[in-house]
Amino acid sequence: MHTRSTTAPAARSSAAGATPTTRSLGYRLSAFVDRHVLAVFTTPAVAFILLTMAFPVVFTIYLSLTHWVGGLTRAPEFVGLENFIRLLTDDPRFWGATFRTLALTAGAVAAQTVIGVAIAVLLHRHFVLSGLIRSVILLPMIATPVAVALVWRLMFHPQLGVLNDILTRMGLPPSDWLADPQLALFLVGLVDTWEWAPLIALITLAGLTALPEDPFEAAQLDGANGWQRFWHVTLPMVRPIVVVAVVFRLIEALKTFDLILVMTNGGPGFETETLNIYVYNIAFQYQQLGYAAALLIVFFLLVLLISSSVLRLRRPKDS
Amino acid sequence: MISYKSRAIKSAVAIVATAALLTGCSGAPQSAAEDPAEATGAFDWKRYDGESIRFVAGLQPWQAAVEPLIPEFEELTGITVETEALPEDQFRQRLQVELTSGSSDIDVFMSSVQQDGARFASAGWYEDLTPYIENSSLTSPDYNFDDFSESVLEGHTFDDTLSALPIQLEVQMLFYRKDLLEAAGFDGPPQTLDELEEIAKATTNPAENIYGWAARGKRAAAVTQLTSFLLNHGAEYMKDGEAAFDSPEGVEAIEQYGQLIRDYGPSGSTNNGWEELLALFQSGGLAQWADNSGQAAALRDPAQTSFADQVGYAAMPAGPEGDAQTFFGWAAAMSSSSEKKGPAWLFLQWLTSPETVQALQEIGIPGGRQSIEFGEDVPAEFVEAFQTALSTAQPQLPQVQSVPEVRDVIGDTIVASIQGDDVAKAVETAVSEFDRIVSTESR
Amino acid sequence: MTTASPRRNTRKALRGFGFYTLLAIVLVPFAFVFWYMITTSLKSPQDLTASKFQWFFTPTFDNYTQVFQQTDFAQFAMNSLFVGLGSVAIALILGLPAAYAIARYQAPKLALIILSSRITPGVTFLIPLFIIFSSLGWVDTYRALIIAHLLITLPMVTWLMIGFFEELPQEIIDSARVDGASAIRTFLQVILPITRGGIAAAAILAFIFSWNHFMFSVVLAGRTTRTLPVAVFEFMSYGQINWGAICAAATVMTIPVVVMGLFAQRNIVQGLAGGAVKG
Repeated sequence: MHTRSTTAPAARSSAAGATPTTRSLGYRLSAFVDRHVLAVFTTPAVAFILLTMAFPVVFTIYLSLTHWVGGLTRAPEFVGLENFIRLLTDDPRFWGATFRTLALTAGAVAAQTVIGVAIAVLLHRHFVLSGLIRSVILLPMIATPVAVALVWRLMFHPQLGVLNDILTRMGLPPSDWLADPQLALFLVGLVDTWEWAPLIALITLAGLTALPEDPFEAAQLDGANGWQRFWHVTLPMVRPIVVVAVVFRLIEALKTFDLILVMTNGGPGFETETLNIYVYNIAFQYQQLGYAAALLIVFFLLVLLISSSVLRLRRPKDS
Repeated sequence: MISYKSRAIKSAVAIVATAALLTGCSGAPQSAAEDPAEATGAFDWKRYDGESIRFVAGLQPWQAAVEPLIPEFEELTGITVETEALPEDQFRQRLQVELTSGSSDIDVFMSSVQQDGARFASAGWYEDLTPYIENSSLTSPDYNFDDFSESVLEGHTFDDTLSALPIQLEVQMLFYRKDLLEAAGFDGPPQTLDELEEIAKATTNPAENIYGWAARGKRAAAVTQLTSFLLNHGAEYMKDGEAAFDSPEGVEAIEQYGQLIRDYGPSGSTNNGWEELLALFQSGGLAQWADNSGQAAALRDPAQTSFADQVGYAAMPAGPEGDAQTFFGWAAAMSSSSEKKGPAWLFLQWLTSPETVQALQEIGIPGGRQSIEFGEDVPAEFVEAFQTALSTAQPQLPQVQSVPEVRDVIGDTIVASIQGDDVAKAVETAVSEFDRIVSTESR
Repeated sequence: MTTASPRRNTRKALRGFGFYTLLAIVLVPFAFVFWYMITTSLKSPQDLTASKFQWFFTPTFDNYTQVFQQTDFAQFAMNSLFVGLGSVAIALILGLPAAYAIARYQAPKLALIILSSRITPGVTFLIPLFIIFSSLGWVDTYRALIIAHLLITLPMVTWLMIGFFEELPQEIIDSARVDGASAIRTFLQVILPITRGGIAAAAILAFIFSWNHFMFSVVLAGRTTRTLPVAVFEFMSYGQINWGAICAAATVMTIPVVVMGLFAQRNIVQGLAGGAVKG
């Protein structure tokens, strides 16, 4: 990319502007880059995202102000903020979906984090078959969500599923599982946790393995026992990386889609209908594209709000 | 940071401008060099030799049976057919995205007219088929258009425009286990809803995991099954453009639908669509099951249902106020944005021609033609039940534009009924929702 | 270490025992579902529709034969592979420098911009992207799918790597600078090798997400470019549901990514354990 002339003059790159020797293109480019590292390094990625998202975003905003049935063969009807007003004041299904989204996300992500970190700690040391065990634990997150959701759906089948078979063999009454309105949302969260705790575990494990030994030895010399060492030394040191994983997971969890669509499609009744499912049905079942666009904007703002709040909780690195 | 913002804004404007241009173009009306419907000359299957069309379908028994036959069409006409068949939900999504964007890539597609017809028609996505049918240059003299029943064609006509042609008809049918009924002392299927309940009571055996009765309970999916109950209690979905199922008869019908499932059906019914119930029936867990006749294909086949010879078929039993049957179906239509309407029409014609329909009905998939008989391998009882039902059948879904919304609304009352909640109250909410939805429909 | 006493040995044994019990408790839920999926895929239709759940049965490979015969499985897999590799490769090229710069120069706003495509619900993109691609004639091409999948892989790679880059001690970068290396050279020759492990992890995770992605595939892919996840539903057409084949498809679909995952967990742990990060 850049020629070797940068090191030839043996001048430090930070003093590049003052050196009058070799003004080759490569040298000048490299110096330019050094002055604008942030801009040069980030522009390709940022530009790509902005370009690809520009039309969808503008299109959605435009749509949200219209009442539109019929796609591009008909002109949409401009209705201003009507969709938003209806959304916020006249749509109980929206509020239900919002509440469920928040409840599901909070519960599932909390559970995933706790369980994930616990698993990472458990698997941290080397023991018999540790590689194999770790691979098994990874499976849920690797398998295709739609496929896994179908398998769970079959497992939950009240008559033909294996879970009720196990229950009855143990002498317990069978459950309706996903058809039970009280249980349905909880079960969705359970399957979600099953699926994603391994992600948290994997990332935490990577972080744990990278930790230097010294603080631990120091703590042990100070007389701290296992639990204290964990709580006061290990956790704070892996926190940054765990938070990275959790934030990512949080954003994804708010939009959980494949799982719910395949297992219940929002049922029974509307008990597992989250915002993403609701929007999808409005757009593709009801074909109300204008209203769906308004919903999407509100949904986006909600996710943005939550993710930036959590990001703020991420305290600056301790030195 | 300012440089990013201005760059972003500039890019956005450029994209939007381009998009507006492009979308403006794709929405332009067809200024065809020659209107395909005005073709002249003798009829010739090879008229469009060398062209190619795209056919989008959902995975269905009909589609599975027709696809192997398509090479015959290709040979007959020299037209290449590119079929894209997707599982039903994905098919629906894909179809909508393509039609919404005004894409000219679809020529022929499967359509569920009771479900989507009104909306697709009001969006202008269907091509009017009448000019093609009436043009003797484009339609074979052997086509025999009169073979389609008037009432069925009416269901495919919106605003006096024939929008699609039927390819697969289904009626709601009662499937039952002859051996289980016999063992409980009954010599035949129920003729009335009361008899149905009797049989259900007698055959339910939770210890053996056998349930006397099941029907769909999954919100929107269940609505097609509720219709006959409604009609047979003397109620209806709509009257004079307004919801009418909150009449005492309507509430009664919905209550009975739920009560039968609650008392004699498998638990967890509120999540049961045909997928769950088919599996349950095949595992031997159901004595009686009502669903659409398309399920029969799996039930007749000993490779899929171990007790296939014990499966009985009957029309739906009568209620206190009537003996109505209901039907559903799939159709094939031409996209109004297609740029190959001539070849598309030939394909549509072939799909609904007497020969093709005969080939399919031979193996038990009924098309829309009245003169065609079922094959000999199809159980006689099924044929009888089907034909009896079809002769008086009414559509399974209310005739509004916003069918999916309305299905969710009505479906909610069914769920409430199965769960044993206050049905009258649920129906009240449903009716006001129904009216609100219908009132916001365009035209 | 003092000489072992019987009490210490027992305590050690108990702790070992406790550990393995805990391990088993954790493993069972994870492994059970996959055991279920695999056994279901090996069952015949009779076993599947039997009235009681069949814990023991004679296995058959018919479902697998059906999967390969009835669907163009090999083609779908190739498509998924191609799109996955393509989008991850580009995601690395675009995302690694970006993540590094954002981490070292503390630019969270840029990070948020890149992440915005994940914050936006996927449904937002379906129709607009279809409109754009269809007017360009790009529907049913790898190009379109890779671009769409980049909306997933790029933020993922960037976001994860920001975390890893932030953990780098400043000394390493400073020492590289002292040697007179430019920013680009520092990045390519010093930083990247050190964070190998993290990069591998991010790349593999991104690939997995792309492989498993469903929504865009339905809308933007056509017959020739359709990716794997849709294949699972091919056995669920109206009036016929073949759980055995569904599970067989699910199993076959999962195998490639499982192999990658096996490689991943060893790679990350090794990469990080052996890296200079440990100080």
